[in-house]
Amino acid sequence: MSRTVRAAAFWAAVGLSLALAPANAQEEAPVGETLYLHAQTLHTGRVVLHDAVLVIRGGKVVQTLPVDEVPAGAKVLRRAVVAPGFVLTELRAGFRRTEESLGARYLAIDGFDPHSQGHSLLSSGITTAFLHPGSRGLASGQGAVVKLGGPAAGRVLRSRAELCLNAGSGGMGAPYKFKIPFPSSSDVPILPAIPQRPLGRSGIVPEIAAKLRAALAYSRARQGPAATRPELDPNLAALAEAVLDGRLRFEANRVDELKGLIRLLRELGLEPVISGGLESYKVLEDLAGLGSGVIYRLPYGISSRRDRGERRLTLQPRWDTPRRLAQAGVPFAFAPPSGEAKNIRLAAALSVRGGLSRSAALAAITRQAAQLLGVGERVGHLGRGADADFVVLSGDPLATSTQVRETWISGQLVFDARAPLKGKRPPRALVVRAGLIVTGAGPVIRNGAVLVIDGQIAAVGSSVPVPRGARVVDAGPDAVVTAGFVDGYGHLGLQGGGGRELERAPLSKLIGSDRSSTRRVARAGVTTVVLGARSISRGGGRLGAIKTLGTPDLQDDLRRGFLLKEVVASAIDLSREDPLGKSPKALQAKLAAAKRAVAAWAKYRKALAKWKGEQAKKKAKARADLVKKRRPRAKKDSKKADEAKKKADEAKKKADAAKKKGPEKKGDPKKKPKKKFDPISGTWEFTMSGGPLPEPREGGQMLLKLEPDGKTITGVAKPPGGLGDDAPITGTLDGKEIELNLEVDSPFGKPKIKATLDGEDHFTGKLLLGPLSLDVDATRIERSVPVIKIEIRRGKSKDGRPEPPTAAPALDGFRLALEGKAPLLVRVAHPRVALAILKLAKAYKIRVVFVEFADADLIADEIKAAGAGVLVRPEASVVRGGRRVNMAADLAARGIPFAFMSQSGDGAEWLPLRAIGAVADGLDPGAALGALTINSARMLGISDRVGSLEVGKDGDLLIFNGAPLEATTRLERVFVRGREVPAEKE
Amino acid sequence: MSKLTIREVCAGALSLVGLLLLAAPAAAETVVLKGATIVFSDGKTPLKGGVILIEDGKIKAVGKLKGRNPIKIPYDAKVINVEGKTVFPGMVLAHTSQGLDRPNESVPVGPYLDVFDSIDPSKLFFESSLRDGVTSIHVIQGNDCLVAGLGRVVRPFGMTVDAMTSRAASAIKISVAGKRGYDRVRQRANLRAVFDDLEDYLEGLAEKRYAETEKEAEREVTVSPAKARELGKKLISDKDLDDKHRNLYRLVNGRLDAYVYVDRAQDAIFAVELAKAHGFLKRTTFVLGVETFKAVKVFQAAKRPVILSSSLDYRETDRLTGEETKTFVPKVFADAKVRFALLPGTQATSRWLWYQAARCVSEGISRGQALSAITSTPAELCGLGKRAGRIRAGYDADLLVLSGDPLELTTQVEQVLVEGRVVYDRSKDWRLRKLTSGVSKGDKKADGKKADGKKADGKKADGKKADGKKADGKKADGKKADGKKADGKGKPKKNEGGK
Repeated sequence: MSRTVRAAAFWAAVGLSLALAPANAQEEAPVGETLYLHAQTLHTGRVVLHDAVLVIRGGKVVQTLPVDEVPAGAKVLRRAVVAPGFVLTELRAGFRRTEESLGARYLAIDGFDPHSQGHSLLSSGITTAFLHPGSRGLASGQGAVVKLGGPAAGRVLRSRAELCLNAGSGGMGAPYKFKIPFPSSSDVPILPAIPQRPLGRSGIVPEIAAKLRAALAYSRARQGPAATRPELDPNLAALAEAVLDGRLRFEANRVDELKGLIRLLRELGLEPVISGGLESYKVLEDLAGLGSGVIYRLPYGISSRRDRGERRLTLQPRWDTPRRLAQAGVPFAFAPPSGEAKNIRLAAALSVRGGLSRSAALAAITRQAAQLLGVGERVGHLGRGADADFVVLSGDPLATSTQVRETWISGQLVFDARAPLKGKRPPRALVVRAGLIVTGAGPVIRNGAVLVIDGQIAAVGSSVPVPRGARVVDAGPDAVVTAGFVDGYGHLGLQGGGGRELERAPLSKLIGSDRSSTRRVARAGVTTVVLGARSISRGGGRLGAIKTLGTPDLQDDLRRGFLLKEVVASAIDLSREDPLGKSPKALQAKLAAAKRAVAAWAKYRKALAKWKGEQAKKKAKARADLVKKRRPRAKKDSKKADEAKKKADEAKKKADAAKKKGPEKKGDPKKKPKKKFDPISGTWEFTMSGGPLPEPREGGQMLLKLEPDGKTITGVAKPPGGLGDDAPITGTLDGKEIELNLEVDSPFGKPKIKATLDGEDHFTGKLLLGPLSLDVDATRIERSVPVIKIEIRRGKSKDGRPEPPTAAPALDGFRLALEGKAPLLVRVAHPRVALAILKLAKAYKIRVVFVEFADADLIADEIKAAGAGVLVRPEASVVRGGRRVNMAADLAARGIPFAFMSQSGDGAEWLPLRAIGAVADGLDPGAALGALTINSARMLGISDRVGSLEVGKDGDLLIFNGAPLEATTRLERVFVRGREVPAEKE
Repeated sequence: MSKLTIREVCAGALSLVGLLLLAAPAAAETVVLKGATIVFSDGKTPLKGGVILIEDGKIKAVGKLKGRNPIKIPYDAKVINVEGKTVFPGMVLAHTSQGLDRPNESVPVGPYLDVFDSIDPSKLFFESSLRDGVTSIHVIQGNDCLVAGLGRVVRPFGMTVDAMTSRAASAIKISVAGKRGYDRVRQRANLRAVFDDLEDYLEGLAEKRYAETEKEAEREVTVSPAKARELGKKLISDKDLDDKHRNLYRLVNGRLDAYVYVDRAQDAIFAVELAKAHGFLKRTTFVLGVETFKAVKVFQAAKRPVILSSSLDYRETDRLTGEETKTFVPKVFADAKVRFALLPGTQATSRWLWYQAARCVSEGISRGQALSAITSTPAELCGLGKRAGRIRAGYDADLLVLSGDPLELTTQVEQVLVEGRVVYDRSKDWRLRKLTSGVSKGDKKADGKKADGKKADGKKADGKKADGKKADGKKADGKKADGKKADGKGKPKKNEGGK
């Protein structure tokens, strides 16, 4: 058997084993199980069926059935649009360039990894591809047809596909070739490099002709006797083989290349595939006569960074070439331009512009492409017996907005657009489309959409991007979307009156767990509630803000939790202020205190910045010193160091032992040894019992120290269980009597311990606290003199770090107001007081919001001038001119800014309805909507987060089926931070 | 003078080796290992109180002194009492490029190369192999080639390569993975070219030989050139071939084993088909990269054993979902019933073959399979199938005397026998002692036995500091530390510190 034949047989065997390896050779394909895929639209590659069921078994298409013929109980998948997997006619394998111009012996399949999964092109619906060996040199190698996913065993369709020859400009310019003789010696010179032809454009086709003829001659001559037998040339052998098998593919674009090539092919009787074919419309007749297919490279890229259409030569791309090829009867398929494979569907759709039918355009990336690659039996269509390679699309295959949802190969799902990404939490995306978007800022948007990512609005407009895996809510053309409503002042979920507690505990601790009422409020459209005490305190109180959906546990995560802001503003009730008084004293006092606090904080911040700067300088210096010191130390004798270490160890051991034995030995080397017995110094553990305590409290600790005078005691008390702050202790020792004063604030004054030493390490006595008296029993557990560290809040800590000013939660709201970050809510009754407040506010530069100020009309101009506003209940009414009118309507009519509040707990649920009532009472619906959304948010200083549909704000959306504040309109859905509020259970 | 220099350079190895060579018996000697627990490489029940009779460096009999077939100890036998110890076959390293002064990684096609020219008996690698209980090493060079030349099986004991050799021309290495600077397309095209060239060369030679034979017989060549090439093939003998083709010719003729390096799963089919097409599949062992387990079915279908990569775990992140999966590679091959040998890694622990086997056991592979993967299977893969890797009559007496079970972390190699001779004794391991104690004299007992060689390298730094710190460490360490202190350096014992 001749070598060539044997080699051919071998590689045929390899190809066969690769291509037709039994399904169980490497990975089990799902055999036996039948899959029924019900598609609304099924493109089989030949026809388009509606409501058809594709039956898949063992990775193959068995048949298509009408819906009613599916056996009962069968597992049926329902999908929208199903089309054959797209066939890519050119996927550059991208292997390294070789020196040979005629590199026919290289195989693209060698670079293919059948075990690799998750090819990026699967997301474009491409299931099969021709691995192209590249277009450098006359012949770059032999391609292969493979699948991009699925079971490894069935992934190679053709291991030795077309040999790719280059009749275009790429065929030129191969590097010079030189051969190093073996064995090389001084007798055997290294010859100069030989140029590889062709060297110019005109030489390309003749060179191809020469090579083809040479290859055929070579394969004949190799059969001959040794004398005439040519030297082994794997490239010529591979070329001859490809010619004899008819596996050739020529790249040609320009009309001259095409013409010369066609002439040559006709002469040799070859029918290869021609790829590129940019100007093939000029040689249609010749092509039709030749009988070869054309892989037409679509002329433009969609995402190309630079203009790839013109390189060195300017050729006119024409969209009508595919149509003309079709009319001339030339079989053709599409190849996307380089780097554009992911847009293959879109590129094919562009050819419809040139007059090609939609079905032909689709076929050019499916059935026709598969046929030109020689795998038309198995892929590119979904007929009986074909491989179950298909894509699930969201719409028509050639429609621009259509997305690839799933890609299947051999009956296996290999790409799923909705599959969540593991490892990293995918962003939670929501898109709401509606006929009308009332943003609350700027004009309304007709037929627009809102994109919410992770609870935050990412885009608003007439069209927004739809991220992968996003939830899309299409509310319909009649729907109206507004921002969630803001309750300007309520007590939703607040436990207790919320007076002083609101100032001490964080909001999350004060909100009860009655989720159902909160949910009812959310369902009514109120997504944010500004939370305040049930009755506004006369001394002033602060307000927080919460969302009506979320969990208190996540309060730290501001984008997911319940909490919107811990401190929004502060409110003060001055309705009982004497209208004849000069100025509201309570408010003035608060503001003055707040101003001091602001000043203290400013000072602290400044000091801190200074301290940090110094600290940094010190550190840098210390580091520099250390570097200097280290060098000589490293040179020290290690023995000496060892000895020193030993000594230190011994000293330490001794010290430890000494500690255990007692304090008569020196506890701290710095301290002088005390000869006299010290009955006090040390660590004491004490137990409190009796009095109001139901059970004794154990585990409290005191560190006490007897000063050298033998009488004064200083120390610190650590309360049991580590609760509370350390309390400094001062006291006296008189013989055996001990008196200790604890510096702790309590409602009854400062506690005092009076006790008697009844042993060396024990005392008992009483703790006196106002009217209370507790028994105290203390035991000394450690005699060493403790280092007493009493933490004094003000002043400087050990490292000189400045201490922050005392926290005064009650002043937080006022402080924010003074800093211009929040308004001040004031309940007033008399216009005179209101004027005084406005004056004061002007002096302090704060913004005032009046709460239900009935006589606002009397000082309307002043209110407007000061930029103040009024918070009203929608149902509140005032008497004007003997008639009872809606207060909001009245304010609106006078041009005073106002916003709505519920001033109730779960009564916030009725806020929108009452706003409708206000509209019925004559309030403008637009003003009412504003008072529920943006005005409310602005007035309370939370418009950076809520109140309108703007990028960066919370994704609180309400979907109405009509005009928002219309009695007949239904609120369809509510989203709080992009999460839907569950509908009421029926 | 020169002798002295050599001794200075590799004092440890050579003094030990030289001593033992002198002590080695010149003629046939009968050795008996008595009283040990014999652990077999196939995992069958260990034989307690077993006796191994060794004659002329081969195992003559394995059994007991009493019972059904009692072994009678010959009167002139040298009896080594190993009571309380465990005897295990010497481990076999199936594939390494260590022990060479430099492996060939530069000549892409070098079938004429032989590691014989490059093995350096004075390499510390051999000495530490002995210390770790490896008695056969298959030295075969780099994977970064196309055809890398011949390998050789050696024992880590001997002054010259010849003395060490237990099997020459063990196999020829072929690599289907990309050589540095080559991609797979080029690698495979060039590999095909190697065999095409051989075929072409042989055809030319056959035609020439046929013509010569006909001429000698004074006949005219009447047949077609193709026929002449076919007929002439039988006339080719090794001496007609040139260096470049001789070993390849022996390979395709079925007279040379092949080690084919397969780095990735995607190379598996090509590797098997290449071997099949050129008729050496039946003599091929596949040396695998870690990811190759994905193609386990290819090796299963080829019915050939494999040598696994030293990294036993494979981690992969799914490109689409981001999910990470971990695979314990030997389990995949064990489940597919593909025979495999294990290789030591470079990590502190994985550099011991027994550790790799122990990991297999911990991952659910049977003990027998794990033990044979470091003894009998690699022995067979190196062509020592009937000679090494088992304790069985007729096999070479390459044995390890261990302090406990071979897969136990605390076990130490105490003695190594090669062909019935004790070539390594931990108590006389000069270098180990030096490394672990820093003391060279007068504490044989304290150091030689207690210092754990397996941990020696990692702990030598600590060993020097050995202070009270070590007291809570392992027993051996604690004792060692004590022993050192008792050495009379004047340091107080740690317990005396507080008194």
